[in-house]
Amino acid sequence: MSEKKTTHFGYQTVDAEAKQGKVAEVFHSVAAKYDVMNDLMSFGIHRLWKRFTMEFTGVRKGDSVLDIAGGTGDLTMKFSDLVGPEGKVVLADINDSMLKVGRDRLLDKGYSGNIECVQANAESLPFEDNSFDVVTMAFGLRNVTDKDQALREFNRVLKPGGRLLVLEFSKTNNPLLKKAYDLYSFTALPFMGKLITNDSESYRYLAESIRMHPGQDELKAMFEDADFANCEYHNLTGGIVALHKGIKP
Amino acid sequence: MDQTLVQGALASAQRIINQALRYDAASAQKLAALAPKVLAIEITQPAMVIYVQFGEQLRLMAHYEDQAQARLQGDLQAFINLASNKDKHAALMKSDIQIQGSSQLAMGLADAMSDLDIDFEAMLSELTGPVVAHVVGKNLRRFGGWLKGSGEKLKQDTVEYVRDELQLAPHKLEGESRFTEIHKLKLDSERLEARINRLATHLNKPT
Repeated sequence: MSEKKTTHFGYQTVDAEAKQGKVAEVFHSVAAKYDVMNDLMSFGIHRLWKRFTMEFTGVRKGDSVLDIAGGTGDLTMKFSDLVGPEGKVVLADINDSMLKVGRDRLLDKGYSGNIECVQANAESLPFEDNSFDVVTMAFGLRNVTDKDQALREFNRVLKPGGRLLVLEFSKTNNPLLKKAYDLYSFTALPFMGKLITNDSESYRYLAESIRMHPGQDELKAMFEDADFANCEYHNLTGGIVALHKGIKP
Repeated sequence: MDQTLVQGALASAQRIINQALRYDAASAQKLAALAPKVLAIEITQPAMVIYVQFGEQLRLMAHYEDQAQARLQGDLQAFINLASNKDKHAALMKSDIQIQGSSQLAMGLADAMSDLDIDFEAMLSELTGPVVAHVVGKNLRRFGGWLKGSGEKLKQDTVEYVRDELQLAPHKLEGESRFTEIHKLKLDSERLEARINRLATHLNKPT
């Protein structure tokens, strides 16, 4: 009998097939208060990390962009302005609760016309080969069960010369910052989660999943394994977050 | 410097500039006409590059994936001098700032900035209502006029005192005449140097 494939869900080891459902539960639980929590947890700094990401996208008018795990559509809105009416932005997320919040938020802010909302799994994207100029994933990769497969999918749907940008929590080398960050994420984060969404477990998972996510160099190597060229990363806030970039040759 | 801090500074500056441009429709229109071009402002001391993308809203970036259409390069002091000068077009031409690429884009920005006239009264009226804004605006304009007049008078008096009473500086015309003489002397000496070089080449030529 073959052994079941396992993966991590925070610090727990779970069946690979079960992780997707468990992550879905987390995001169903936090979707309604996702933006408020993001601002609170990061003191609003996540906006600056996303702003930095936008600078590396090189998006122009008429481009087609896939914002995978786009959640509440922060990046999608910026892309929508940049690509103009002749371009296209696809806001994709595996979680329908997050996607609904994102779609409503976009409509409330007057964004429509060049945006499509698609429920999609990063490991098997429902798009043709070579269809996007840019693919971005902000704070989503660590929740994906098979990250290598997801990276290969991003490569497949990108046009040659297209770029992938992954913004994700990473590892800091600064011992002082690491200590403060650990204290903050394992005590303050679950407490805030309990206070605002009445769900401390989801935020404990968030802190644990960040620790289990590959570091800067490891993720860069995964980009290279997925056939991306000119791979590079940029640390932000002392390495708490890193932006990885790769070009499809 | 950590990029988070850079992005924070740029985001704040961008917000303030775009907010201010809402109250000067003419300048905003001039800048929008330059869309979607990008100007790089490269400060050499301290080393820093800021990219400005033109459009209905200005976008400030620390990084730009493509080549900027124009690049202004100089030290911080040169940019401060430029910013404090009223006629930015002329100041840019005279300054130590190097222009690379489309000078038209750089001049377009300089023109728009020279004519910048933000309606602070309209800005204030959104917070306080038109009556209070008008009263505050009127008094501020009066105070501004007095400040400007007094500043000019002080400058003029100081110049006259240094030049006529202390006799530490020459008159402007005197100075210009001396500079013309020095320039002429420089040209003469260069001509003489060229002649000497030619003569030396002539004498060293094998017969």
